Amino acid sequence: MKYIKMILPALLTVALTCILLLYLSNLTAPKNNTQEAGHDAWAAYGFEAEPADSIDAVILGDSESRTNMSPMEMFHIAGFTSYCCGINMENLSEAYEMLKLVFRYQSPKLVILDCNCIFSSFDWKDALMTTAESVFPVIRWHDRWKDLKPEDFTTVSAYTSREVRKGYYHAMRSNAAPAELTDIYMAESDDRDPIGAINEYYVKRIDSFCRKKGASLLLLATPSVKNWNYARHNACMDLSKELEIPFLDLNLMPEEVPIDWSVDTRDEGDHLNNDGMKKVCDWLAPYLRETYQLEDHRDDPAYDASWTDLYNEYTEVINTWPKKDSDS
Amino acid sequence: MISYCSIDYLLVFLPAVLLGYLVLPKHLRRVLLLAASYGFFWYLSGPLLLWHVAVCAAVWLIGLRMKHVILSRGEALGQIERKDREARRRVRETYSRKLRGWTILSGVICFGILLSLKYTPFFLQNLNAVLARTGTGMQFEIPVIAVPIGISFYTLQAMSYVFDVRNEKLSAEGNFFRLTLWLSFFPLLMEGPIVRYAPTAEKIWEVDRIKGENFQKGVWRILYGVMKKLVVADRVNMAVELLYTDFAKYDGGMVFLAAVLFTVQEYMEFSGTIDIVIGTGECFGFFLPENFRQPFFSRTISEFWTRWHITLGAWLRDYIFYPLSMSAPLKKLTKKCRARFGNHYGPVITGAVALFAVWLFNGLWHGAGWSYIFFGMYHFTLITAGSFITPVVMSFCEKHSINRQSAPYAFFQRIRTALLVAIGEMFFRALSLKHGLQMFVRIFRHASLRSFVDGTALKLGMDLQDYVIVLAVLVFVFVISLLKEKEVNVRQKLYEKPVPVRALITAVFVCLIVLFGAYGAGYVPVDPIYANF
Repeated sequence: MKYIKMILPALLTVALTCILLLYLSNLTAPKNNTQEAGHDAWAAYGFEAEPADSIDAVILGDSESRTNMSPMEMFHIAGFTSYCCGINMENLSEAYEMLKLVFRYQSPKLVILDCNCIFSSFDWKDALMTTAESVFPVIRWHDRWKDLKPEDFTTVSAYTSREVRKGYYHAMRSNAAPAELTDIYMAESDDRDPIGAINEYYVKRIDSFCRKKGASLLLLATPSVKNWNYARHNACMDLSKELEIPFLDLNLMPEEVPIDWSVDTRDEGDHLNNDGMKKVCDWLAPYLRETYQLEDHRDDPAYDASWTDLYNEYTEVINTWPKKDSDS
Repeated sequence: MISYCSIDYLLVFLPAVLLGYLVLPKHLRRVLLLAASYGFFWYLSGPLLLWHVAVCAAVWLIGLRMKHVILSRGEALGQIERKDREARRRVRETYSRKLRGWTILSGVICFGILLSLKYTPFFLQNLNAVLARTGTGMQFEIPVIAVPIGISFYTLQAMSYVFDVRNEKLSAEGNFFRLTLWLSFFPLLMEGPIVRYAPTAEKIWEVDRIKGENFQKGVWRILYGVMKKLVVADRVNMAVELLYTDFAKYDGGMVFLAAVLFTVQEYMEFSGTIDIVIGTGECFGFFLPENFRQPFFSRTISEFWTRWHITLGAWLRDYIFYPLSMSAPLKKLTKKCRARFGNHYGPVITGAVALFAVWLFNGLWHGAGWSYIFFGMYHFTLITAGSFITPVVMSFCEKHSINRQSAPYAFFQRIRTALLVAIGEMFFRALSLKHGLQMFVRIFRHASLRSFVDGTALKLGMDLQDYVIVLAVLVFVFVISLLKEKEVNVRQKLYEKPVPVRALITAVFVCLIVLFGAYGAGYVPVDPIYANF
């Protein structure tokens, strides 16, 4: 009781701080998921603009996840809807927060976690910041004070901009992988690339969140000569066995996904280009539909406006190299 | 590197220690503080902590030996009759020699560790340069030596304890843990202030319970420091980096801007950190000494050094300047100079000898590099020259009826002092002494203000809004400083407000820092500048 005089003002201070931070969060957050509104990852958040509960599968991860798979391509091939929520350099704590956000708007049956993200380097401070940013978005968007307009003070944030590529980052260009990478690519080994304790902790959190929501989790390694190797494969295999989560490594499936590293990569074996992505989707989309019993919506008129009718626009967009990088 | 402005410290470490302190009984609070301090040290420096323990053990044991010598001397003197002055003098001399021996031993241990860890590469680099000129082809490999955090700070603290015991200003501490807690208290580890044993150790060891008023005022002080560091120091970091690395690409105006921006950055970073340190102490109820007293209100460089890094200045004054000035050879020299050059210039000349030692030590203490030695000599020259020309300035002002107490004259003096400080800081920050000299020459040889109007100033990683927010915070700091100069206790006045008002003030302060802080994507936080010293 002797500290009561100190604790009450402290609680009042914390409460007032939270209220003000929430106000500032609304003030500084981009009012839409567009570049014009100041959003730096507008494509990844486009799932909020999709009709509620219309997405069957979500893809989480870093840049690998958003360049190696295309939801619209998979829809065209297999008929299920998906959305790629990956963000460049995303770590697992960010992927986890993204997953929680996805389930506020959508109810996907399948969550695909791109395995490259499992080896992302981050620590508890980054994780703490990610959590803080999700509670008080002003921490993420604070620098937007420089661009505030009068309407920022009067409007509430609502992401309504629908993305025709559904989060996919497209690239036409081809930049062959060097021989020193392709020669040693997926050479068999007993080595294991270490998975950090915090990374493992977040994979477990993602797994338990998916179980709670009734969604299946798939660990997926997409082709990349620069980022993937057998030691990573072994580490992910161990993790998948421990957590009893399916793990699929497309790097070990050259017959099913015949990537030609002289033409199918846009940046020397780091990410795939459109041709490489199509090879992945050609095999992956039917596999996912069958394995996870995902519904085919191609003949469902409810999906015409947001999927079926947009395919032509999508192909037009991805077949045209953007005038500048920021366009993509 | 972790700083007192980091998430680790502000959101995890400090709240955890405060919470533990709040709930633990009094006798366990000391254990908590000691464990937290050594835990913090370990977090920053790992096994290098052993060097710190070695220094603690050395000064503790030597202090006890000195205490024994002092007591023995008392007993020996007690056995000699008062009239027998010669015998008493001999006893005093004998024991004084013993005390001197212990002091030298402690100096050898403490400064020996400091010199060997921090200055060996610098010494060998210079030795190699000399050897290269001799043409022998002999060269030493420059070792990479890991240095414990804040070694320069705790070494000075440890030596102040030994000097004070030797000068019988305090009795040697019998409790090793009490001495260790004072020497390792976590807020003081990285950037000081350099605290003396007598007033601080006892207060920390008392571990009184946390009081609401101290806690509230401590939190405000911490927030004030975080604002200085996060909103200003980190925001100008990119511009400072660019300007100092590529100064040759810019005109004189931009190089001068580099000098000003680094001065701003260093003041905001160092004084901001000290605000966090002092605020941390206040939260626990420990009142640590101030290290800054509105330095840019100084009218002379001498005054500046009584307001900037006060505890270092006081250490140099008490343990180098005074002992040297009062030494027999210098007293003799003063007498001679007084007779030859008069009452003003005589003491100034001998004072310059002691000052030279002070500033050489000051320069070297800041870092192992010629630019730091130059920095010390620069200030030595300015202070000595200031003393020499004082009579000339006085007579000039008298002749031209210039009132030296008038506000315009004081303003002129303050601007002049600030400019001289900024030039000194430019040498301090420059990548080498050569770069510092080149930058200095560039200011005049390529003097131009074009970069300020052609947009160059806005291509340094800072846009117009950045400059505006930096300026706004500087104005805020200036107002607070002005109120402090007028001895207005701002925090006391705020504390007298009702609880909801106080809570609102704190909440707004936090939100302004969150909103205007230079953190996250696009910013690289500046490492604590003084933690490397």
